[in-house]
Amino acid sequence: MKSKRFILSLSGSRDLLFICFFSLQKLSIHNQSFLFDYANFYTENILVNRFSSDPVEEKVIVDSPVNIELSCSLTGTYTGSATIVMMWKKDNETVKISNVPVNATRNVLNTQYNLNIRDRNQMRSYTCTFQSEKEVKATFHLQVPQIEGKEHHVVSYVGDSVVLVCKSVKYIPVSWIWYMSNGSDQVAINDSLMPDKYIVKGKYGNTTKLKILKLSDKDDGSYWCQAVFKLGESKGKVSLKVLTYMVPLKPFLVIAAEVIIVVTIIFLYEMYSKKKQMHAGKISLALLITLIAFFYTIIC
Amino acid sequence: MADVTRPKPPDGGWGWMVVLAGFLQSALVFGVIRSFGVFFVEFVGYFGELSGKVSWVTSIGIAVLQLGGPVSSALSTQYGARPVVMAGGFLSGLGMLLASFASSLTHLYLSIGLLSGLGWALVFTPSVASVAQYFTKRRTFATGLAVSGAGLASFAFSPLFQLLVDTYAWRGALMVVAGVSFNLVAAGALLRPLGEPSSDVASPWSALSSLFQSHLLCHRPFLLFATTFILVDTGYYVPYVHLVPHARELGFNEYQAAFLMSSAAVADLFGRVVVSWLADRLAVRLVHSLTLWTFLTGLSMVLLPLGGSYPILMGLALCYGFCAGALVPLQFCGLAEIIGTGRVMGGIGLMQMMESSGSLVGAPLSGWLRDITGDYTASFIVAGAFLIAGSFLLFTLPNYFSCSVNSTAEEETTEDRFLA
Repeated sequence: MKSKRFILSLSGSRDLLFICFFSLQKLSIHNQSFLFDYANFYTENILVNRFSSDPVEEKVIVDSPVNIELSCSLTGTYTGSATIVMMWKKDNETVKISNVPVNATRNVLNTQYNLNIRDRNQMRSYTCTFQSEKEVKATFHLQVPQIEGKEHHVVSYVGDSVVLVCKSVKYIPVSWIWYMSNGSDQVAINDSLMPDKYIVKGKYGNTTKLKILKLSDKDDGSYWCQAVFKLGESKGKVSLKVLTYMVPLKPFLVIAAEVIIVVTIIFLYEMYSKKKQMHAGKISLALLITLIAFFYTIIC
Repeated sequence: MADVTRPKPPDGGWGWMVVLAGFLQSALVFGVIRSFGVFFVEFVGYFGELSGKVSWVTSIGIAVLQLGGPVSSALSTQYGARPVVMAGGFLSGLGMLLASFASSLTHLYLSIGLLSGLGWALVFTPSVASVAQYFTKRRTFATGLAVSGAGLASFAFSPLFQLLVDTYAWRGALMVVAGVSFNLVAAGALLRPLGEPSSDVASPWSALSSLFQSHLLCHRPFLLFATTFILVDTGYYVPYVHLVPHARELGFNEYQAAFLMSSAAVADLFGRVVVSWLADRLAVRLVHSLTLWTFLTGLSMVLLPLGGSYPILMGLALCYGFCAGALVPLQFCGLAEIIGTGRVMGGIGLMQMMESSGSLVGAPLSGWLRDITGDYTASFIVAGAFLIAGSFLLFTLPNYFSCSVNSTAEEETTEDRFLA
């Protein structure tokens, strides 16, 4: 059994200390075995201290059907009314509610909510609430894994081909779908309809590659790779920039011109220093200045 | 072979411009080669080929650079260094420009490997030989300065190339690097010839043989010197190739391993400049210094496997870097001391070609040793042993144990004494 514990600590009003944690217990997907194997126990702790005015939230990444136990825990000395109401809400709809009498000697109040996640309707936000005169709550957001696209542009040239890559290493999606932008819409790319323009390698698995052939100006823009999980989809963005060969050619020509000028200056200086004694030296100097002016006008 | 009355080396003046040309040449040839790893990654991604096949691109380039040494020397003996280096600069830039339009890996082998490699060969040998010809008293220091370009350039070029690739993709980046390489033409223009090259020869065959300095193959000191460096080259490049994997195997992460190499590169730079400056100051014969530094390089390589913790490994890497850097200027100036500046142009080319047999064998041999023994200990020890053997071979040079050889008069005396 792999168990993850995230501990969020919240100091509430007066002496109220609110600790909220959940534990994720993965059973086998086919629900065959309920035997917990403690040999693989592993704990991860995140401790965050916040005051009650800030919302306490936690993202829970789920990609395939699993059993989850969400657990909230309230600690601290409390002086107030006799009972505390513990409530679980799915989005804004109450799903579980219980009243607990406050025992002055007891420091910890626990409430759990078990979920058997099977379809995407269950991928919502679940909030646990402790209510007496004041209300303290914490929220778990159940989400499918986010796909990271590429931060920088992918650059390529007109007439060339390019490969756009998306990866999801930790969670393997069921399938991938690529989208391209058409104005403000996103249009799915069907590589069987246009086989000499788009080739998709790796529709199933943790990596997908979209190869775009015969690039043109119109292919410039954003592309999305959508990973389809059993419990939902998520998209990653890759942007493509298509350049013409003129773009790098400009710095190349500037540098080449600089080389020609430097070489000319070196040779002219040599001729000048050899003929320094003769009157012809003055003519060489004039020649040098003329040539420099000539190159300057060419460049500008 | 007809003796040529050479003009006295200026030891300064325009010579410093020749050193600048050598610095630029070292930066734009070896600096580019060392930073080519950035393009390597892009080629693997774009062509979808295995890294083994892609690494042939730079391997072919380096092989052509070394094997083309004699050709380059012959051409520059005949026509002078300047036109050859300028032509070489043009070819190396042209190769990269054509590579930016490549549509297959074979195109890259031909354009970068053959064409740029040939350009680099035409640039390298005459540039180094020109520095040797322009200086006598300060020759080693001038050579050290000239070859330090490689170290400085590889610092600047690696991030620069990455920036170019991010902005223009590898095609555009190669185009810009081609333009930068064209500055080799400007560097070549600085190589003002010292007097006219010799042109009186009896027959075509003797002309050809004098161009390639093939008589040097019968010259015992030259052969001993070149054989020494075949041995040295077999071990010299092993840490460049295998230090990072060795560090990773010991458990250090990628950044720590890369930092080891960077530190060795800095030490290499210092070794080149500091030791070459010292060599000119002290009244120690170059071949003696060369023996010392070759031995120390070999020793530091043999001790490398002893580096268990990071500080010790870093210290050993710095030692290796410093000593390996010191070898470079001492090698070329030691050759000039043995065969005379008149023949150094052809000699360097011939020595480069012979050395390439060592460097081609070295890294694969070391890799094979690692495969059969399981770690890099044997590789480093064998590589260090080759260097130590090379340093001992230097003892067999004629007149090794004479303490002082007057360097200004040595040109005439060496040519008389060793012409047997």
